[in-house]
Amino acid sequence: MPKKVVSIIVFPGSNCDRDLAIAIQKHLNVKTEYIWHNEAKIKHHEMIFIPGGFSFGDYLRAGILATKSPAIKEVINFSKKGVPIIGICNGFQILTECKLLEGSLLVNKNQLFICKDIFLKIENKKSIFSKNIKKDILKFPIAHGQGNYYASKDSLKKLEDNEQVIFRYCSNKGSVKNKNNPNGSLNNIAGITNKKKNILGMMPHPERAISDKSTADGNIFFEGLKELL
Amino acid sequence: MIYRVFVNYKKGILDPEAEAIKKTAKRMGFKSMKNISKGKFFDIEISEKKAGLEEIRNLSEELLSNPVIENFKILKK
Amino acid sequence: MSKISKEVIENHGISLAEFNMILKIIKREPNLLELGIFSVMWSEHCSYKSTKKWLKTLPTSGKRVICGPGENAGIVDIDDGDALVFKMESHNHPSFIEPYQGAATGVGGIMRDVFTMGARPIANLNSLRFGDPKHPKTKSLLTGVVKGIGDYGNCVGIPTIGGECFFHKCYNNNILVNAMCVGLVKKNKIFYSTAKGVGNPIIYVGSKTGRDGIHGATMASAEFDDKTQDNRPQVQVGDPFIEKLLLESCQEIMKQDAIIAIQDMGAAGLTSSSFEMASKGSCGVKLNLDKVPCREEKMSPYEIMLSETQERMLMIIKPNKKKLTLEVFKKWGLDAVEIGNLTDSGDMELFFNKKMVGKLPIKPLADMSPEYNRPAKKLKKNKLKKKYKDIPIHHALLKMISGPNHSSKKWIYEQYDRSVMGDTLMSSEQSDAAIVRIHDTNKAIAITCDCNPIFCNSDPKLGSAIGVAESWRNLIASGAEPIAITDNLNFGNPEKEHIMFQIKESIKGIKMACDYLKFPVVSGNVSLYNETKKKSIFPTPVIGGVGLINKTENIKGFKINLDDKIFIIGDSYGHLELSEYNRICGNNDGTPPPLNLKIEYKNGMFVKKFLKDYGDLVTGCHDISDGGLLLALAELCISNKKGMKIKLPKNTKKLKEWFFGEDQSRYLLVLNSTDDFKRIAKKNKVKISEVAIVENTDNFIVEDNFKIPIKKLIKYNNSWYKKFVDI
Repeated sequence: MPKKVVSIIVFPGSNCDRDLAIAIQKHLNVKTEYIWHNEAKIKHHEMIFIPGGFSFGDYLRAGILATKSPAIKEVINFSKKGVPIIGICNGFQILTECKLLEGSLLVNKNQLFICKDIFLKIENKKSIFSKNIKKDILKFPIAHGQGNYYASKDSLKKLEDNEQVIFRYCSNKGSVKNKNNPNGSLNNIAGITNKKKNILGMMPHPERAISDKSTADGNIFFEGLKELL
Repeated sequence: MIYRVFVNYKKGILDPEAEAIKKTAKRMGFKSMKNISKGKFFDIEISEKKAGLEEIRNLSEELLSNPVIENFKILKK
Repeated sequence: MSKISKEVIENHGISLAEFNMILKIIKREPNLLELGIFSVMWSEHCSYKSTKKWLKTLPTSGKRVICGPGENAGIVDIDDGDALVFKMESHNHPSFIEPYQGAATGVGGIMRDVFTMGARPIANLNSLRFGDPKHPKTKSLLTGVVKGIGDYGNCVGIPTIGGECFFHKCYNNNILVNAMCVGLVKKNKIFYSTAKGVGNPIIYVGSKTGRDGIHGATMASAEFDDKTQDNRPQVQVGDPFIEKLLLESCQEIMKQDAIIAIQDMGAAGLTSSSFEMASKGSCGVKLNLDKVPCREEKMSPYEIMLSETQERMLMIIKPNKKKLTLEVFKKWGLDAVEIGNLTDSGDMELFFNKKMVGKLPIKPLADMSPEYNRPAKKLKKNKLKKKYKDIPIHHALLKMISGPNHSSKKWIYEQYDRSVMGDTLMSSEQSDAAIVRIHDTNKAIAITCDCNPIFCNSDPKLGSAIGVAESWRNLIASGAEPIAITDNLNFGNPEKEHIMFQIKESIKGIKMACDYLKFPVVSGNVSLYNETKKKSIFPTPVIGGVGLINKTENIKGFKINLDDKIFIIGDSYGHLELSEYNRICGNNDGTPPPLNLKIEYKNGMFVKKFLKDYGDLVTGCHDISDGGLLLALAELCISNKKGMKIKLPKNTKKLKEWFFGEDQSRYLLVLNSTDDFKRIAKKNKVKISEVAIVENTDNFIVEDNFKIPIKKLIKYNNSWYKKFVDI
């Protein structure tokens, strides 16, 4: 049987597209196809990724300019049909800017870009993205200037009530406290889904944690996605 | 014709940059400063023929501001 | 055309003798445009006129060298058809005037130098020098520079994985921002800047030309005065987004075999790039300056030729690939235009709206560029014996690890994306050198930046040689085979005899160490006139070293495990003069520790071979440099959050010398088994002594003396930056 194909949308300024393709190929036994942002058709749509980086230089607001690309219109169409979509870092920012996900990612509380390893608590394993992750706490790098998750009180309550929060920043032992919050995110939120739970946005980078030399928890994350294909 | 679109954070959104400016201003001796907020504006020049305002409003809503966190205001210059 | 006045000539930084040379070359008076071109081409920055004579003496070849100085960057062979392209460059003056943009554009410039050669950048490093933390400008300069470096590299998606940051009052009005970039290329896919082929089109691509930085190259070569801080309009603004597009589009076009020659429009913009390419290929050039995309209206030919707008490239394209090239750039949304073509005239012919506005012979302008043998004389130093008081050892250690120069630089490096590209194995504070894997292979490269300006100020020759040796040592300690260096020579005004003396001596020192250690110089940069109000910086020749690690399993870093024994390799004499310890006691007198290159080489080769052959017995490795033995041990504890017990030497009367002496050529090896080690060291006649044991303790224990909880060490080590930037 020919291998399935996973699509990765590439914008001018994306810079995690290659790392993501490598991680996906390594774990999901699929091919990957880069979709240039100007393409109006996404041929392979069993699963779509939006990678990290600085699409359009992060100008105006991180992610906003990318939402006007033809490929994103197509992503929105497929999202309505229930196609699994994952946006990482800048991908998460794009997904909030095009309103596929609730809330917004503000400038980090300390106003600085932050790159370091953090611990993530898997808040619930009921989503298609998290149910097969064979660990409760993951160690991933973060690398962003705007990852400070914000949503209005009402939306936040709905997110929590509806169990859309998938990842929270925590300590190495899983305690979710303010001091484990690297960027000021409300409720230590690091990753959420939409209401229908077929779209995941997350700030940390699992695709950068697949080497044996550094942290390898990214492998566990990608292995957990196998069943979706 | 030029329209100026002001964009700023909605009330209640933490703006760390404004907070930092406030801290510094206080240190400089602006003791009376109660609050400071920061925003940005865009000057948009359009040809006279087009109606304009409606388009500018759409642009402000869909591109220049993020309704989740920001308000905008349009001024005709 | 109006006659060029004396004042205009002077404003262009051209001396009378140089002007006479111009008259001789072109056999008439130059017009303003032509004068402007001469002024940038013959500026210190582009012509190296004060240092050329001495730079020529440096060793530049070696078995792994593919391309030495003279190109956009140096290239070395790392086997399997792979090569590394690397260089370091300064952006000192621009960063002092506008720290954010100055530092950002410095990073942009050095990355372009690397990717014009066909390489994909895989690592950025930087070497920073700021003034006294108490100086009112230091904090904003530090925060601006670090943010500028981070924002630029992060956006382009290249990891910034190491470097150094040092504070000293000699940099109060002249900070140093040296950026280094390393790129990876296939040996048979290297691109050079030699223009070839009469009639071939010259393509301009990248940002539109604006009036930014006009005379930046001459500014970078002029002493500061108080007015310089009003020079804001000259500041170039960086656009990392365009840089990323340039990188990706160039990589795409390079795959298509379309490019004959390519060069970045760096300092002196269109002028130096066109002249250098043509000069290397002995071609003529015809440029239609009205075709150059401009950001502002009514830009004159003078402004177009001298603009230093960033993120622009010039390339010579095969005529049959022109259409394809322009299409690729269009896809990436970049301005790309044919602005002229190569000719066989040997002249630079500049047209504007079909009128010739300037004509200069290319070869003579480069060949007859000034070269000075400036007078040099050692400055007699008045020894001021100040009174000082020795600080007890444990206080000294705490003071060191919580002071500006040895505190954890986490505040800096957490602003740099170190994990993008997924191949960073060791970055700041994990190993003596930053280590990045060659993608999809089991090999890696180690990179380090080093310079001790305190040593260089006292003895520029010895200090500079120590810089090279330390770079070499750092690479060895990281498990690498040292390959080559790039150097960034930062000095004051070469027209002053004692500064010229420093320059000459420093180059002699670099030569001496490079020759002995077989560690050639493949690229470099010189930054002179780092001087404000007659006050010069300390000589600061920064050495950027690169080494190859054959197997990633050989990488050790600063690791220690329970029950490991730690040994010093090398002789300890207890040289305290100019050491970190003496300086925190207030004693700044003396000379640097001696450097015996024979012993350096012997010790290094021993460590290298031991790591290779007996890697399993070694847990970690660390060189001993400023701060001496005790600081090196403390760094291991901090890095591992583990305690250890430190033994006393036989001569307990000289504890300070033992713990803080900065004798050269020494390493710490952390061993999980010692029998083979002792045997082989003895066989090789290498001096070793056991100094510590990793014990099950939460303390940093010095036998019979004191103990400090590791938590306290870490807390002290992490506090300085937070406090400093938060004030």
